[in-house]
Amino acid sequence: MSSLHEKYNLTPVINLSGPLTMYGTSISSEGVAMAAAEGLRHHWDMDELFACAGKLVAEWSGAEAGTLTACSAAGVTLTVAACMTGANIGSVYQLPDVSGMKHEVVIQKGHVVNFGAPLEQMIRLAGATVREVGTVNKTTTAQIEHALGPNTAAAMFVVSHHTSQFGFVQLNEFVALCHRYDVPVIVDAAAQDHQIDRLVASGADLIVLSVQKYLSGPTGGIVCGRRDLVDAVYLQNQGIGRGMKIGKEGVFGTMVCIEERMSTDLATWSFEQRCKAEFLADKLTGLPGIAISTVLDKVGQPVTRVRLEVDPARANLNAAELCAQLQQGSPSIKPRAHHTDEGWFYLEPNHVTEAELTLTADRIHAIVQSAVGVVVG
Amino acid sequence: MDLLEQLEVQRVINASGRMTALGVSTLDEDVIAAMALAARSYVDIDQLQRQVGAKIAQLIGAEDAMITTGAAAGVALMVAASITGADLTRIQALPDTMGYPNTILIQAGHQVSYGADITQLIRIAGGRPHPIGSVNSVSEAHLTGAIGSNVAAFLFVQSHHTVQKGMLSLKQVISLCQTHNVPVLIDAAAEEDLVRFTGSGADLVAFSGGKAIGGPTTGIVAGRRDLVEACRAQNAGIGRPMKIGKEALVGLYTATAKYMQRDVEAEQARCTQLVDEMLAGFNQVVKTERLVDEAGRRIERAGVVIDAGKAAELVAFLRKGNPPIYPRTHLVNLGIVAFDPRPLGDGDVAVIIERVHAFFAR
Repeated sequence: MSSLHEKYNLTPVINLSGPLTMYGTSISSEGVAMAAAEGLRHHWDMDELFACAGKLVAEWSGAEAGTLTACSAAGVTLTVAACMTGANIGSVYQLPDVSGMKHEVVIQKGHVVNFGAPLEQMIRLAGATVREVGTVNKTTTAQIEHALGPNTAAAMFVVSHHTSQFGFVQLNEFVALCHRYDVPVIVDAAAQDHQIDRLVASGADLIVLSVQKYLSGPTGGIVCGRRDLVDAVYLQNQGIGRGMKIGKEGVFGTMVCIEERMSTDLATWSFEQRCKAEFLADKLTGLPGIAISTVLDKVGQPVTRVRLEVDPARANLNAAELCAQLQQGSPSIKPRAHHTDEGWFYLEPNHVTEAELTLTADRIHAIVQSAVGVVVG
Repeated sequence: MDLLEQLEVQRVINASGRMTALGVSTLDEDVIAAMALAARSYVDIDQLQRQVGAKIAQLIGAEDAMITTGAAAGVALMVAASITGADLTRIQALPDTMGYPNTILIQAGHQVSYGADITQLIRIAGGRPHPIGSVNSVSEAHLTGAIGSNVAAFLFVQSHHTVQKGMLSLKQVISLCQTHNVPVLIDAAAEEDLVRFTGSGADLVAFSGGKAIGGPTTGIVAGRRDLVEACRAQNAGIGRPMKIGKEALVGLYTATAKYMQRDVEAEQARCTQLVDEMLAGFNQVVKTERLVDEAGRRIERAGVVIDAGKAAELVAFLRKGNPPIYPRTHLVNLGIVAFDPRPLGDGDVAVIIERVHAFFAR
């Protein structure tokens, strides 16, 4: 609990949901917080500052160039805008009117997700038209090829746990196919910063990442990729991007969190997350009607989560009810509850202390025991 | 010479499930006999269609039913019926809907391919698919917000192909649609518990006659009497190329009657034993997992857990062998190759284990 919780009477949160926007996403290091604070104390030449940040993004990612936006949702809108306008400032001013521009964005149906807001709306916000291809469980190269045409401004590929996880054309093949038709590929990889090498190696033209998720920086978006298109993203600050820009404090915080990432050993970090998950899993075993396991992220993040599968017949409550009860009280414990309608949920222990994990385990024991007690009584 | 040899077609071991691409199911001798008998007789087809429909409806707990060529045809006919009713002029104008309501609501995560695209089935019947929500998230507000004067029906897809998280449940959909007088159509092609859907409050349900029921290549549309009548009436229009013959009608009736009397526990025990045998066999050479059905059906499968590249290689290896083995490939890009016990016959498990061992011994 911090002084801010007290001053504004806010409920303390133990975030076991992963880097979800609605719970404040992540916790920044002292270094990141200090850099943001220091940035606030001075004036800067913002073009110079952005150029400096862009260079650092490029160095870290291995892409040609980089820039920053307000968040990854802004990154999606502005990369789409960039693919339509290029370096033409007249076109930048004209958006969201796309008269005279290529304006269709091709995307596989299983990628048209809601991440808190509909992804397709972020595309339309730039003035583009979404061209969905295929079905949620199967999209073929032929369907993508058929959709690429004279009006195609870009193709978008989403790397996320939200998407359909099978039956779609994979990233490398998607990029190769689109490039055969000279169509640039935008990858929305918001939470996938640990996979940056693979994403850049795919040859994608623009990659959008979140600063505040696993990078644990301030709220911001990273765009990296082809220099001309990255420049066109920056140019949008004179048009629709004006309301989607990141401030100086965000830029400094981002630079420091990238520097911290560059000196982090991934294997060690991943091992630490696994240890935390196993620590929590150990404390949860033996609960009636709850099967506990630890699971490595399936999308490719080196993150281990605890999976709780709830058998309502034995636990006398279902996964959704258990999640709801966890959130009641103070501190409010936030589970990763995307699959409660299938009877299970995750706890992701990244930004949580050992004491908080113990408190969480105790709370779950209490909830389940009281539910089971109702049956017996 | 065996007929398959004469046609130069190989017998395959189907470890995939009730898959259209592999011949769906093998027929019971009683079903085959009924079909042979029908093939030797003349009947009034319209009467046979009505009688078989009525009797199957009784067996599966519906007001009425009609029989068509498959669940896919059933979906097209349900959509057509909800747009035209029994009006012959409208029926014969399809897929032109003459300006009548033709919007078919569907959850974004239900826009699947089952071998073809389900939204295309809606379109061939004159429907305009209107997806609601996103592929991972649909709320009740998306449904109520989409309801308007041009809506003809809501299509709910019950299938392992759909996105399994974040969708509205059947109960939610039926409750909201009933409030707003929107007919609910269910595509329940591969479902085993037929009565659960006919008794759900939905207006029409389409089943495959060849999947769970184990009948010939057929489909059943069951539900509200007036709408089933409107489905049958499509026979004067787009239903014409989707009609089936007397053998199939009689065969399906026989299969449905047997299916409703089946010993569920004995079949479940047989499947569990086959999965146990496969897991024990695979376990000697590779990591395995007992898989539960993605769509919540009571189906267990034996899973081989490797990486995605290796999984694709294993599938190719098994398909190329003699006899070719077709495992379930839906999860291959997650590194899982699954083996479905339901279609396996005597001796198939031993062959599958041997071929899997052969792959890892290369």
